[in-house]
Amino acid sequence: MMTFWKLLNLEVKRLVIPFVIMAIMVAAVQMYGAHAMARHTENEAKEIMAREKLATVQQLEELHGLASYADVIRINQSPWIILPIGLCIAFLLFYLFFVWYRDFIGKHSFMSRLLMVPASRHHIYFAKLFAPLLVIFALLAVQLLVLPVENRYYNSLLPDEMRVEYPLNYLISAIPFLRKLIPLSAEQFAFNYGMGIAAVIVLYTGVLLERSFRLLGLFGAIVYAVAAVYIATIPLGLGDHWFFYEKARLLAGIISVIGALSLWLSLYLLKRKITV
Amino acid sequence: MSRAIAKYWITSVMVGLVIVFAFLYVRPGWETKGDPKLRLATLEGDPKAVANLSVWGTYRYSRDFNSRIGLDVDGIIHEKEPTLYEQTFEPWLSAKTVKNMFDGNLDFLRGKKNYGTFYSDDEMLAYANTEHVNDDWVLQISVLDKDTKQQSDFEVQYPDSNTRNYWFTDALQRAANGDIIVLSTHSVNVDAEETRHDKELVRLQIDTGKKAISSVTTVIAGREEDKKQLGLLRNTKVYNPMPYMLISAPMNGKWGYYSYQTATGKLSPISIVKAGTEIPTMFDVADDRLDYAYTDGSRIHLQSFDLATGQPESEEILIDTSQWNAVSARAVAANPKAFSIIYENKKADDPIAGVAIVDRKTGKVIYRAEVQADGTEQERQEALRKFDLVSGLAL
Repeated sequence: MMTFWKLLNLEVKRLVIPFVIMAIMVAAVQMYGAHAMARHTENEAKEIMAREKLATVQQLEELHGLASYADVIRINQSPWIILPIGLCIAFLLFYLFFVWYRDFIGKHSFMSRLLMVPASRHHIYFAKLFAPLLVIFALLAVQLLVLPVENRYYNSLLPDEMRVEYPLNYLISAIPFLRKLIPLSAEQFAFNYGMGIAAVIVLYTGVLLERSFRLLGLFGAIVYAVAAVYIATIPLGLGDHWFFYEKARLLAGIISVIGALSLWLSLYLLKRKITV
Repeated sequence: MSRAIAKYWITSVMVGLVIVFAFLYVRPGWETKGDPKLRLATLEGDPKAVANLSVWGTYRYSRDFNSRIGLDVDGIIHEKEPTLYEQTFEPWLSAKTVKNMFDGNLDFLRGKKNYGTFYSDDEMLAYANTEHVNDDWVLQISVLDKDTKQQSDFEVQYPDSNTRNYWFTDALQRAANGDIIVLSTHSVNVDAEETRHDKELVRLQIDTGKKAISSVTTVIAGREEDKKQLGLLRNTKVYNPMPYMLISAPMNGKWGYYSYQTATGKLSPISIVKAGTEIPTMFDVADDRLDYAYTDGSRIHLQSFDLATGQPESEEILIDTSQWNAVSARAVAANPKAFSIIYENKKADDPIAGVAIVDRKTGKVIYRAEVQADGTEQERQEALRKFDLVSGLAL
């Protein structure tokens, strides 16, 4: 067990700098976005009040309502929020390949040392699986911590009478992209992230197939991935004689089977077939 | 333990952040932080006399964010995110309706369109839906015998297949002989530009054994006017047995209301006297009785009619909510013992939003409550101003 923790620590250590950069980037860009949005809201309010000759903010509120931070990010589908998250996702997608291929580079690759560790090779696999997952959920924690701070900062830049209080779940639901990342129901959360984890396992299987059988393995990996995606999308094509919840459960079942099968295949390849 | 944390501190920090995420995600407060401190406060009567002491309304949090919220004596109730099961049937059928009416026969709902119409009684489930297929207007019918579990699915063709005209399923009932009665709106185009339509409400009686239309009758026909629609009032998705239905249609040059006897097809005008200034707010049909209410500002006028004769069953009851400083009021529900009403005054210094249950015979208040807010005077006024009642107390 200690071997696993050591390997996990090693993998997480390799991700620390990218994590810190991503966390700072998300926080900084979104805080700047909150600043820009507040200025936009204030200017817009001034314009409307001047155009319609309104004397007080209360009149503005009665006629048009007051724009909360959630309102402005919803209307603009704020790139200040979407862009940094998108960059993090792009990096992590790249890293899911890099986490394996980095260790195969060079004449005396790091992977050969890893494979000689006197413990089950499963630990290598799970360390490489859990490290990016830890970083993903840690980044979600950063996002959940930053969102209310952004909201407070936005409000602090506005005059008292223009500040609006509202439940923070509206802030998440204001941007569909954010709502997909942080679904407001636990069931949807388990569904989305279960699919994501299964996809990572399939991707790792593809990488290990390629590493085990090289060019033939690459071909096998492509066929495997296409077959997995095809089978997973079968429930989506079922007609309206299937209820939506049945399709969703079938999809969850198929994805669990694909995930389990891919996990078994990955561990088998790592134990029996992988070559450095 | 501490040595392990020190040794693997980076992983420990990450695990810590994941725990923070889990805490932030599941903690209560995402839904309620920023909520106004609104609640329902009893002003008259015994709360135990009320079946469900909660009301629903909308709260305007900000410029674009209106949320449906519930209120009870403890504060705000937020609607939960629908589960995958609930998402399957809602919004066209609530999970509660599905449980009450289709429990044990859920398969009957398979493949049914959400714009179709359903019927449920002790013995039968039925479904009817109008579709335009291959240049023909067809009525798709499904019938399930609850005892034998035998289901029959078939299509019949509407009498008029002109593609410039339209058909729409309005209501579904069962005749005493087991036939299905479908009330459909037939919209007939009367000019080349397709801007004006004559409407007729058509009764189609369908023999489920022969899987064919056994009779077609026009219930009522006329031309619609602005904001006046010919047809059934109080359409629903799922019908229970209804001996009478309510129809709005032109009557001797003026618009009025008719009762329609489902079994016989008899149409009787209802003697609702209209002054022209009133705003009808409630048409509650239960068996052979219509509970009708209109408002002329703060006063609610309530009256019951016998749908068999179309004549009033009782004297008009007047509830003047100006006694509670309201300027607008409406009745929202009725049962054999009481009416449920809503009253409001948004312009008052402390805006008023109240609900009451009144005795249907005497008009006396059985229970009354108002929405109240806590906080500073400004916070209270703002919270009350942004809240609009939608439902009254359930009966």
